Amino acid sequence: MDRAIFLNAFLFSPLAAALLILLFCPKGNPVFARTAALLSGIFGFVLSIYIFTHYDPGGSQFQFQANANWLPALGIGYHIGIDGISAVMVLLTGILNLAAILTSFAIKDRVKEYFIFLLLVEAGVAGCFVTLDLFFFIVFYELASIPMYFLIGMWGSDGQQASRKWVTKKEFSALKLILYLQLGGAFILVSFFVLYFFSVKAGLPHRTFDFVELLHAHFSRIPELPKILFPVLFIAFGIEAGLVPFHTWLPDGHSAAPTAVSMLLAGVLLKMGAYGIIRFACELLPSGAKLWLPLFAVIAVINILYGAYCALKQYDIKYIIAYSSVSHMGIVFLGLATQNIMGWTGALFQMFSHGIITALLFMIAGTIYEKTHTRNILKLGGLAAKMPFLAVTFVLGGLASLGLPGMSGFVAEFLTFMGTFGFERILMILGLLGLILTALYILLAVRKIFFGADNPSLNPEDAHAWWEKIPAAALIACTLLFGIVPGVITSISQNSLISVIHLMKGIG
Amino acid sequence: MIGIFHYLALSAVLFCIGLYGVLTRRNGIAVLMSIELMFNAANINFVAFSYYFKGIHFISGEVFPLFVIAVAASEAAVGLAIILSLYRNKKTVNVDEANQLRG
Amino acid sequence: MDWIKFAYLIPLLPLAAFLLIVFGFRFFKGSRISSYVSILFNTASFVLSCFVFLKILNLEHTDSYSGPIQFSLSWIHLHSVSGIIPLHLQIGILLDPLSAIMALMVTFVSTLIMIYSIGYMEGDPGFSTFFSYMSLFVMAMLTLTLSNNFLLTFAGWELVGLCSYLLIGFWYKKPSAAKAAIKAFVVTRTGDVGFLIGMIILYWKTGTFNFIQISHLNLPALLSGWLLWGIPLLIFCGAVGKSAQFPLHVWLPDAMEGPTPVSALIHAATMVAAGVYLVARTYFLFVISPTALLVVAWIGVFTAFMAATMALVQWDIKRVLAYSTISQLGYMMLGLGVGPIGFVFAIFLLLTHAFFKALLFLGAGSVSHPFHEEENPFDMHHYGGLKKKMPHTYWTFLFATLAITGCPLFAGFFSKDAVIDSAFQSRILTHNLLWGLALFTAFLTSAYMFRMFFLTFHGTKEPEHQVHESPWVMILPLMILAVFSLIGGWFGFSWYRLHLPWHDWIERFMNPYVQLYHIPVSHTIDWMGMGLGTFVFLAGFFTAWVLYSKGLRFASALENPIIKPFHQLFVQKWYMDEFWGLILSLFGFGLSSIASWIDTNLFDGTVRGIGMGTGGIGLKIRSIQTGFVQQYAFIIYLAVLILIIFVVSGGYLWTARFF
Repeated sequence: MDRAIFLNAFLFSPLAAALLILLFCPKGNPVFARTAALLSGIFGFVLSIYIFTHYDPGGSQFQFQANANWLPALGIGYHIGIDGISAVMVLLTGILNLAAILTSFAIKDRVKEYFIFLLLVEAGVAGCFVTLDLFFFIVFYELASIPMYFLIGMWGSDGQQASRKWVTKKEFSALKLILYLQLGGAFILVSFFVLYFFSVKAGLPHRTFDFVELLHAHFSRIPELPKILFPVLFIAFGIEAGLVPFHTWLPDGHSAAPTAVSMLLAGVLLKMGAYGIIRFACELLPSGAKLWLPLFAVIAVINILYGAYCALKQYDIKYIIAYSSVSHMGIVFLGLATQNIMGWTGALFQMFSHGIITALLFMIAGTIYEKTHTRNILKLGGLAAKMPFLAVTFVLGGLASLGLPGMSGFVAEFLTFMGTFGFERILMILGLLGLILTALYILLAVRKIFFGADNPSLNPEDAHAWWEKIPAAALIACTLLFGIVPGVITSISQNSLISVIHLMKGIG
Repeated sequence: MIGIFHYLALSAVLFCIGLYGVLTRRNGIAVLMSIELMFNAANINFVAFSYYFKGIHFISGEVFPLFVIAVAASEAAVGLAIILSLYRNKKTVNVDEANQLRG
Repeated sequence: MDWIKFAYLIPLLPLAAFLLIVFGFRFFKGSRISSYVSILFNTASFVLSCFVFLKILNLEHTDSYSGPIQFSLSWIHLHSVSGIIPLHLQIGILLDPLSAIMALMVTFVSTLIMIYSIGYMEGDPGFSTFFSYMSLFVMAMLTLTLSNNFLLTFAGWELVGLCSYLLIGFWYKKPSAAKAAIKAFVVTRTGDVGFLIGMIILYWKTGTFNFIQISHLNLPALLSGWLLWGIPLLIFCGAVGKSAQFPLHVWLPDAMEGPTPVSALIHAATMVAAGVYLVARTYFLFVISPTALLVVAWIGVFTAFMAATMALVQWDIKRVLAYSTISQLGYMMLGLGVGPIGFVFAIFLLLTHAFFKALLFLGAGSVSHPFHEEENPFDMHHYGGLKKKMPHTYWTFLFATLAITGCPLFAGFFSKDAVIDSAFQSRILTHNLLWGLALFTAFLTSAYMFRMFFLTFHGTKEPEHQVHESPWVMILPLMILAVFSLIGGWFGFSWYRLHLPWHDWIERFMNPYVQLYHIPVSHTIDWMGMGLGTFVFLAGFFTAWVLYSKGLRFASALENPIIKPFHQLFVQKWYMDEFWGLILSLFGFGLSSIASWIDTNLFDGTVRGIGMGTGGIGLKIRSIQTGFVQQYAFIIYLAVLILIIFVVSGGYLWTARFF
């Protein structure tokens, strides 16, 4: 189909910009790199809106498809396309890529290299959401994760986790992050190979990495395969999405990363894991999902409460936000575990909403750090008078995060817990207790950063540059928009989610 | 009549001389020359096998030595360059001195 | 008439004011424009509410009344999949007597308080911000009032909580204000979780969030077992949080850190009454379960009693009023809890209470105005003998005090005493005990209110400050409210059957509910109820007169071994703050320390252990790496030799047998 050109352009615009910067950007000239990145970001943003609005929820399962042979002998092809689930993720990626690029304008040293790495990450993330080929998923996954190491190691900052007596060095965090992501990646790779080698046995004419073809395979015919492979895939993707107890890379990595990278990490990289669970684990191995998801529901609730409790203890702003991500990703897992349409819609909505909100919070935390040179909330205080813009945006982001009605977080949490009741009541009640804790740690952080007596030793200026203000305002507008009119997302994703649920219930 | 075994014996002798040189010489240039000897031993094998098993009209075995010679030439260029820079840094071509990769 | 369709504008107009102030912030800064914008839009909203109210009033009096009017919009629609109920969420408004009269009260009181705020907030750097928050609050409150389903009610519910948070923490530089704001939000949210759980269960049982649809269902058949009383009580949890009932009342006294108009509007007249309104709105769930009603009644009466005891010993005028609010809210809950017989009176008390309690707070604000340089301008130790200096404030305050204490002919006499009497007449279990405690609390109410009144306005003390009367913009709302504190009660004569033209006006207006819940209407004048009400009012008045009218007397009585422990208990607020502090440090911060320790030492420790172990092994075996390339080559040579010998000797065939 001709429409595939939009998806291709969306995927390749960051890569093209990266190449352009690599080849033509004169050393020590930040303007060129910024302009090129910004143009690709705007281009991708417009395309993502176009793709999202032109996705037809009543149409065929995968739209905007492009399929080209790459290594036909091995069943590998360049196959991209989106359904209702990835359409939402494409929109999220489009928004956050642009926001991350704008936020990156604050980077002052080695701008050229920074933007090349950042654009590579963006391309990798976009690729993961649109590819329909398992092999290319791995390629894009690595493309998204490897540059993270350099971004954090070179442009990051040291942090202070509450119960550690030592300062967490950025190199340590970078190494931890990359090892974890590679561990997850290794398991994903092995699982994909298993799927590949068993695809003939599962009823396909030849071995293939193509997702759409694998969708027609019957892996449940092979005894024990879904039962063994599903938890492996779930945990492998779960590592990336912050599943307790494989989450410890997340607070360190997110806190050490430069602002824009934290935004991308929390905003989209975590969602890649959750997306992988939906797309590959649940859709290809529905019988395994049915068997294992109830167990993972328990872990999901642990995620919610445990993340919230850890966040309550932290005093480094970025660690608070990072642990809140652990807590909020628990809601995604819980929604997925319910195996009903309310919970799944809630999970998808939470993926989108949490992406926007956490990116916003990280952005403001980064700006505060830049202006005050500390992230320790015990050293901050009384900033509301000096930085009104940041105070307002942070409070709004925090309120969205604690699930205030009218903002997207509420819709996500509400739908998830609605679904959870139909699945297991006790888990719903336990999960809802997390809402109290969320309110507590977010408002405590707000109080300690912005409220209270004036601190004369701190004299920061408010955010004033347009590239500091516009992304924050735009992200808030997004949470409000999707919080007030959630039907935009739910109507797009509904049919695709239903088809996955039908697979799990054995109807489809 | 010279048979294939003569060639193989020659190449084995050459190889062993080269190996002995690689393992015992301390002079970098000598080591490089010994490696060349080992290459040539392999080349002789290629040509000999090709001639005796495929006949004179098939030159698939003869192509490989050409490749090897080309590669060996570039390898020698790189190797000499390394030794040259080693000499510049350490004023010696003794390979035992170049042990900075040591753990 | 079709214009009633514009009723959705009632909450949207204050929202428009909010948006205008937010986006015009730069231009309004340093001027009064934002207050005019707020008041203008709010007044428009009030006028619209009046129209809606009159329309419904007219509808009721004709026979064509066909039930409540609703408009809905679809919000989220998810199809039914594999046997699970579909999710069809709507947002919409519901116009019936209850919501109409509530909307009228909210818009009316909020307009008056906004006018008052022009004077009170004059010169505050956050003047525009204040009015934007107030407009947002009114919008949220009206959303919650007019909503036709649980979901939108919950949304409004949380938004009023947000505005309360923002306005309590309005003077965010004061650490106590910032702390009180968090306390208010988190404590009410604890209740909201119960509300949310109840709501979700109800949806799964009934398939809808719409109040009217649910009320038409055969609920006892749908909700079996514990759900019958469980669901109303879970929803009541939300009301307990928001209406500051025991045990979640602890946030309201601290909420007095906010500006006084906020206390008047949010923490006296409207938001805290939202809990009562919610119970009234979902009363169809409560009437089917005597257990739920009994719990509501006891929570209500106990809260009323407990708060009254604490109000007796406070020295901060706003805190006295805060405890008095809690106490009055307890009365409203009691009215709802004793069964349908008290329903109308609880609503009536809600409305009249809004007038006189807002008046009391505004009056307290007016009193404290000259004292704003003090560390705590609301401390009654500074007051005394203010009667002559501020006559307008004095007289309006007196009206409100008479109203709340139940002086005959004033509003509280008709509403509060009616609630107490309905407890007596109801057939609920332990109704005598409920009634007795409520009556005793009425005595306490009269005592603490007059104590406050005498300490503030009477006595011989000469004020240290240059005390002056407040500007007219503040006095005018006081006067209007004072009028309503007097005549507000006359709309509810029905209970006493005194034959005035409007004698049973409130009852007639609430007629649909009277019919829905089969509320028995008595037709005899209850002399005993009236007499007892007047008696406890007088008893409280004289107690306060003796003890406090000439300044503080009999202070030594507090050292009495019998009185002292009680006094200590009341001053320490029944140790509820300590109780919740303990809960918070155990289940909040305590568990968080444990979680954080586990995170660092167990999960992360394992990971770092593996990392260090790997590093350690590397350190040990790296000595093999000598750095002599020729040695490596020799090892390679040897290894190849061994392999060749192995293969040539057929060894690999031998090993292959094992696989």
